[in-house]
Amino acid sequence: MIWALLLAAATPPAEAPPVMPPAPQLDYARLVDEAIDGGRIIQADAMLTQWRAQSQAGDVQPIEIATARMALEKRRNEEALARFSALGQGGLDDCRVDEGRGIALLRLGRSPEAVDPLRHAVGACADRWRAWNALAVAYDETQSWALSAAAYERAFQLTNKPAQILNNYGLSLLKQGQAAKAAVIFDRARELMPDDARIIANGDTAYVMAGQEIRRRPIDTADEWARRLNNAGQVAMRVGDLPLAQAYLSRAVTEADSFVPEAAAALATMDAAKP
Amino acid sequence: MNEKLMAVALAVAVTACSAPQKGVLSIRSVNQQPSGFAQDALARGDLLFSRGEYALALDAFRRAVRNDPTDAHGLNGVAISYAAMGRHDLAREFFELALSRAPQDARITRNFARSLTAQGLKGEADALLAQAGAAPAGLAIAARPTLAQLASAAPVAAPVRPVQLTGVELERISLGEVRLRTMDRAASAEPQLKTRIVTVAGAQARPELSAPIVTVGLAEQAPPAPQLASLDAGSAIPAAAPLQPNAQAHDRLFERLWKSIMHPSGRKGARG
Repeated sequence: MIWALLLAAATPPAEAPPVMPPAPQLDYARLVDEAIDGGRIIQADAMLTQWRAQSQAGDVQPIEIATARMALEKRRNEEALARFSALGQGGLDDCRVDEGRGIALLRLGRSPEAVDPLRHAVGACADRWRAWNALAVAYDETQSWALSAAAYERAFQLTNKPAQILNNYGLSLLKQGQAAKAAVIFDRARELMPDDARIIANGDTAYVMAGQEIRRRPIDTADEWARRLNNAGQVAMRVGDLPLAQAYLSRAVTEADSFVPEAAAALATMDAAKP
Repeated sequence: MNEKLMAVALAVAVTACSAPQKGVLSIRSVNQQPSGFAQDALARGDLLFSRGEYALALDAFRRAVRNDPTDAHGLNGVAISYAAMGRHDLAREFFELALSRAPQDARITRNFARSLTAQGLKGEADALLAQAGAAPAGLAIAARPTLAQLASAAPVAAPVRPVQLTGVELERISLGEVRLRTMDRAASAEPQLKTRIVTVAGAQARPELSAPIVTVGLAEQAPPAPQLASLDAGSAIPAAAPLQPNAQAHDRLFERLWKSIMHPSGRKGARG
């Protein structure tokens, strides 16, 4: 036994970890909110995990709000709606909860139900551009064009992502049949986000509906241009301009580097429909 | 007695295992490297990055992060290395992780904002700086016109393209074929509807020829093209091309064609 004790004493002790000063307590509620608002989901997720690990007594509800917002950002709309609804039923009066519930309802196709919580959200917190934007989209669904235009205007003046609002407003104008105005708005959006595929496709749609020729950008590859031509052809087909549709679709097939099955199928359909 | 012997033997065995011995392979988990290893990796990463050796710096920073995944310095190093290599998509993840660990580190925020700006996401960069208190918020927003003003404004002018490319254009269809695209001033509204196929016979098989064999049909009237519906006269249609491109334009065109035949690899993706 003595031998064992002597040998044990002879082994060097493990190096003690350096004493670190306690880290300052972070304002996780604000930081996670800012990260979500800024679209930095990885950061928000990581900070939410840290927050849960260091949570204190009063953090339960703020953590639940942040969790619901994260679900919404990750497009888990059913889960987000359930979480926001539970928070609202618990008597919590918070703009983020109303806004989140409204957006979740909107994404789930329940736009008439979304109007009330969104109106409540912008009434209590008039500086929340996401709520204004969602409210405008909800008004679009009910064809309340004047209300939607006013809501888009408020969102546009508040947002730091103007291309998104311009895109939504352009779609609203398209729904109203104002394709020429929509084309101008999509051009503005494209100036801000030149490579956004949705904005390009929506802009081309507006051009075709306005009777204007779509233009190839210098950076468009043959396949990208063919995709745009195909999209323009499909739009022309839907608005009933078959000669224009045929011209666009034919060009999509001949100008692409690779086969464009959608354009070929549409052309075949048009050929088959000819008497 | 037997118990004492066993205890002594066990103690000797434990000591033998715990003491480092020369020539004995020691395997440790990467997360249990001594702290000096991570510091070395970070210092090496910093040095390599300052020398502009971004790939090697990335490797060093990644080693540091593997050792301590929560280290903001290492995460920021990985992010700036990716950003320096133009991989802003990969940089973003590490900037966000670095910010999650050190949200008040203005250096990480500035680096992230630079990366966003380099991607053309100026608005997001400004918002990030504003959140961090590094830039006043709302300056750009205050000067924004209304949506109604934007919608009623004149259409944005079309990007100006070289007249030669707009008027006459060559496209490679295959190794042996190019398309000569022509259009006239009057038909500028439907600029891509008149196309012609020009076949370059056996050009690939006879690279020793001193001049291209090109058969170009005379500029007879092209078949009537489908009319575009209700073209808006006030729209931003690209500048009209000349009715008949002049001889000099043709010469340049054929020079391009010949170059493309002699060096076909350089033509790929250069159309339009």
